[in-house]
Amino acid sequence: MTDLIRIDGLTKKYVNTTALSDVTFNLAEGHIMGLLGPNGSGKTTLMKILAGLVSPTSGTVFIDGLAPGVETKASVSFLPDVNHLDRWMSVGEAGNFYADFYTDFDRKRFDELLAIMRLTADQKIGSLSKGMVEKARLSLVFARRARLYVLDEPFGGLDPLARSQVLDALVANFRTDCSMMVSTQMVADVERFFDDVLFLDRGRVVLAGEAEDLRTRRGGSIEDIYREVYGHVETR
Amino acid sequence: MWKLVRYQLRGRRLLYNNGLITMGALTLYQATRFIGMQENPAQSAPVSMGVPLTMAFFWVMFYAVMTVINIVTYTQDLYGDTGYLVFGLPLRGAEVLGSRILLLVIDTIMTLLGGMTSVLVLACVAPGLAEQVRPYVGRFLLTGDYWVMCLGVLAVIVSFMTIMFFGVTFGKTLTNSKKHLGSVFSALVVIAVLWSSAQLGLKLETTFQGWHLSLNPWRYMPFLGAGTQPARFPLVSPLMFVTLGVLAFAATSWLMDHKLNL
Repeated sequence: MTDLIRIDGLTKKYVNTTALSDVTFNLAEGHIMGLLGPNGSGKTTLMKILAGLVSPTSGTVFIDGLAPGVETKASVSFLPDVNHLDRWMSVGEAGNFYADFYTDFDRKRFDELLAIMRLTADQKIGSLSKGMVEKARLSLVFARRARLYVLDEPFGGLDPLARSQVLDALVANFRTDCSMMVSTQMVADVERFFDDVLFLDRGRVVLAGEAEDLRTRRGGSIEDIYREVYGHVETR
Repeated sequence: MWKLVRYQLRGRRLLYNNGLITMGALTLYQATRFIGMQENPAQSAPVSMGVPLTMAFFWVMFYAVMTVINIVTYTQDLYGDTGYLVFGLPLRGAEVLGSRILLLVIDTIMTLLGGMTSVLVLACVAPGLAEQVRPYVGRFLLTGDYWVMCLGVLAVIVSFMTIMFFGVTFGKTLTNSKKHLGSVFSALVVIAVLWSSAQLGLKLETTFQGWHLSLNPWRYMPFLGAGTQPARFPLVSPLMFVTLGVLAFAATSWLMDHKLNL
């Protein structure tokens, strides 16, 4: 099995903070990785680097053999943790926008996802509730037949039922020729999907490995390990 | 790049509609002022000419607002959430920046055409002494030198905006700052570049004193002070400024491609 992501010694420094420090890991094709850690641990920075939106200070990052840039942006489907869509757009216009710029955007799949999420193309982004915007954004991201899906807190604004719908859609659409990295605080809800887990704290990798292996070795769920690693209840 | 321009134009449709409706209403208002003046044929030329000049001022204001909006939306994209959409696209920095420049050119052409329409409308209803202007307006708008002057002004404005874009991008990328430090740096970079270019421009104009452009855009406006005499326009400093704009474009594109920090 080939590695879709290869990261070695990745460091990202801002003016007076180090967001990531000497991060090294690989993610195999067909795997889903859970990126876990408390707020400010560097999860979002790592995801932005993979999405080509932040440049690393040092270290190497390869996605499908390429350094983050224009080529990788065409094959990485990124869901930021904030609403990145313009308020003037309708859901359909957002779909047109994605279709215009991403050759891997599947219009039919987008329509199917909208139906699952109970959204219509003519709804304005500016008039949707937070949860509905989240559903629209997830529909856009999953409608792409990307090589790598990078999802930053994808379930934040969703109610439990919607979360379950999204997870079902996610699993149903997941292909073995792509990989996914998910950061979430809702560990219990999604840990069953994780093949690998990466625990970050203050920009450093504190624990990493195959999810099943970690469960066996540590004798608990990923959520239990999370509590153990960070020493306080952060999960919901 | 064209797709991005199309998308940005779509995002601004409400702004354009409101702006152009406002300018149309102002033109009609000025036209009614002219119509009112027709009842007094002895209206002095300066008073009559004040009406189209006021209209021209409104168009300059319209353009200034559009230019500020250009900078603000670009800054918002770099500092705000919508940047994930624009800078996450599989496009090179030059294409993203190029779309902004094209948008600026479209704004300029729209302002120019809108301003010309206003002038033509006002010329048609011009009263009293201002009526004498009417035969000259069409010929003036078709004067080659007038369009050369417009192109020169456009090149300088585009260069100025590119330097602004460079300043904003530099502040956000090279400082590695998430928020305020970047904004301060952006402002400092813009001020430093503009001040240096002004100094350099003055030096170049002194060194190359004989180099200038003779244009006669007001050839068909004999009643203006300039009359039929050609006017001398600076050549070296605008060329230097345009070169600076090209360099700023290249540097900004490189920063977007290699040093992006959203």
